[in-house]
Amino acid sequence: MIEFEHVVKDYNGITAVDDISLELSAGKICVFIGPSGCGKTTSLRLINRMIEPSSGTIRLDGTPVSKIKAEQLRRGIGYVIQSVGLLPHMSVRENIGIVPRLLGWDRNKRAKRADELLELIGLAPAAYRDKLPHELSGGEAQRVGVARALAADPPVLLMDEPFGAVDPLGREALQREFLSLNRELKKTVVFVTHDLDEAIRLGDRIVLMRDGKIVQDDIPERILGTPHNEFVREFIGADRALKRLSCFTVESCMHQAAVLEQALLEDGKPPADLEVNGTGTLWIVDAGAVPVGMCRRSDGKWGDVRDVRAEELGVKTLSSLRDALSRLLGRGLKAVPVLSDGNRLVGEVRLTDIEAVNQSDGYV
Amino acid sequence: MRLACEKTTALGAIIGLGALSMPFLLMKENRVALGEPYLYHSLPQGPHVLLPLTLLVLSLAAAFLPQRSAVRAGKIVLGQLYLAVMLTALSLAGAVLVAPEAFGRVSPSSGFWLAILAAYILIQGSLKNAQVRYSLRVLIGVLPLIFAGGLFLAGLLDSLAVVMEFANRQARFMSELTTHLYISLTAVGLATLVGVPLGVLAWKRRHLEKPVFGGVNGLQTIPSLALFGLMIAPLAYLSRQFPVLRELGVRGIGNAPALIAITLYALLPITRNAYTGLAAIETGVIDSGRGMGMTRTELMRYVEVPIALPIILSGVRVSTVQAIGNTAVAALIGAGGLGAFVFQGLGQGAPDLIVMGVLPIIALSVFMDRGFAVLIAVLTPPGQKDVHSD
Repeated sequence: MIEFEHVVKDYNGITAVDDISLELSAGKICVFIGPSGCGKTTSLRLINRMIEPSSGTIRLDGTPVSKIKAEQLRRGIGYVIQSVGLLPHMSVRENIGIVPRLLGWDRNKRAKRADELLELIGLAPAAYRDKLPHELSGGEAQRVGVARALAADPPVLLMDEPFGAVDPLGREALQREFLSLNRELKKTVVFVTHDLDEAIRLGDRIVLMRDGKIVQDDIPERILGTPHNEFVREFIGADRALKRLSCFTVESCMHQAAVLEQALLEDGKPPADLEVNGTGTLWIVDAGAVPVGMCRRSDGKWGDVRDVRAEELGVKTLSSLRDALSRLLGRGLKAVPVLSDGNRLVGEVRLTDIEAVNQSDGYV
Repeated sequence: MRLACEKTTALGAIIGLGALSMPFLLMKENRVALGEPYLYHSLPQGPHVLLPLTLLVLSLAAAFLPQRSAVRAGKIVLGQLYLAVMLTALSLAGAVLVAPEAFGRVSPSSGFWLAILAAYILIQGSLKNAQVRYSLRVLIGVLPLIFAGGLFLAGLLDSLAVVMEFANRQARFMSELTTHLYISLTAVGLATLVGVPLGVLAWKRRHLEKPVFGGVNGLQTIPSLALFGLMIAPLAYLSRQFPVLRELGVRGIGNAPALIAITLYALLPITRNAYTGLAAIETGVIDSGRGMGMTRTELMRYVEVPIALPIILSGVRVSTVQAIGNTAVAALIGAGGLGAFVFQGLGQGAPDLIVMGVLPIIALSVFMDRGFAVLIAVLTPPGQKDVHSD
């Protein structure tokens, strides 16, 4: 648990952080957000003493951080920044092994840990461990940055706009991966961003800051649903209904899908007497449960089977409803398939589900 | 069909042909005589002129062939043979020419020097962009030196004026060489001790960047001779005032002003590269290093030194080559070193003595330069190789 108690940071008369008190609970992702210069990064860097407060106390699990030697404190806290900061002269494996090396682990243990972490972040150890940072793409470098922060298994992760320099597509993938990673690892994460979508997607809690002060500190749904004042409303923007959809994962409202194995098609059509509920959509899957086609039933008759490419059309269980909506509208469908990691069909999301969620708090 | 021509080789071969039509050596009756020129084909002894001519024509022909590795290797062999022929001719003809004269000697002339240039172009031009192992490259480069050294040690170059000048000054040559190395290397050592901290300081304290570089840049603009001159008065004064200094050998002329002046010159490349090397480290790299819990020392050991060291060393490399050259000028204020021979030769109108001083200076510079290149290559971490390869 991290506590801020009346924390102030002054820079030659400019107050970057103005009397902040906060309690961040263990195992949750807390996002600091706000316009540039609002003090979010300063607040983050106060936690691992990269910046010392002018007054006030920050406690980590009850111990004031000022009582812990700065280097020792930092070795126990994962740190990820926007520019990644991989050491350019060290291989991926050596980079991941830096904190363990500072902590005095032997070479074998470090190498083993690096391989474990590469596996965890989805980069094949054999292919990546000996690469140098300049041989990595932006997304890969950022994954390695996350792995490096996790190397000594610290309970707390500080992330300062970690995905900010990655292209939008890559950023979404990184966010999704990070979310599922932290479901497993349950780190206490303090995350700084200026991207509201990112905050909503990742945060268990959002702390919106302005001029060094906290404007609103809430769960994402409430930040979007009941903004405290005009500033918050403005910051969220007019499309908050759409943004709110980012708060919900597909998982939370997916339905069972009607499925037919490809081999059971009769003359390229589903059996005429097969009835389905819901939107009347039937997913044709191959032997591995991967969707290959779809078919709609209307007026008691089956239409033509349309070919489907699972990875293009499907959403993942941890994708947001906003993602799902965009695919629904883009294809003019009533439902899209929800896929597990191997592109296996696990359910469907329907347009009606999304409408229901959207109306659940009275916003139109 | 269009003929493709490899221009470097063609140039080398044409220069080589031109060299054959110029005075190959000068026969002198004594060390200050002007000498009588001999063209290659009029030499009384040595390989027939058709031999170098054939080698050059073959090289020229090779320039028009597709540049496969066999052709490249052939050109290198031709170049080496051509060089060997020139050295042999110099040795054999020299011996015959000086025999009747008591103080007779020969000096290589424009034709010979051009021939060396031609061979260099032929050999290095064929090595350029070729996939040749480093050790083989070195061997190809030093082979002519080994051949020339062998001739010298066997006494086959004794008719050369340079060799005679050397033979007369063997003991002094060694001591001047030592002095030369002592002055230039001590100066570079001192400049490193001062320059690296200066560079670090300029990097750490932004407001000191301007004054630091203003200072070292300013030093560089003073002509070396003027700086040597400027040293004389204050040092002479100090030495008179403080007997301790005098006992240490500090006087207006001699080693002390030379050391100080050359150190000041060596400062700029070292200071600038120390600064550049550190500035080349991305701020994110240092920030993440600190954020991971590196102490000041660990940050230096794992981040700053490995990334900046190759760049700092290339500054030391430039300074060393520069200092070896500057030390030659320092002979003017009585510092000694190989420059002493050069100025002595100038004074006596004995060009061969000048050459005797200049050749080892060039050799030292090249040797130091290559030595540092190897050192830097070894010390550059793999991730930085593409940043400063040589």
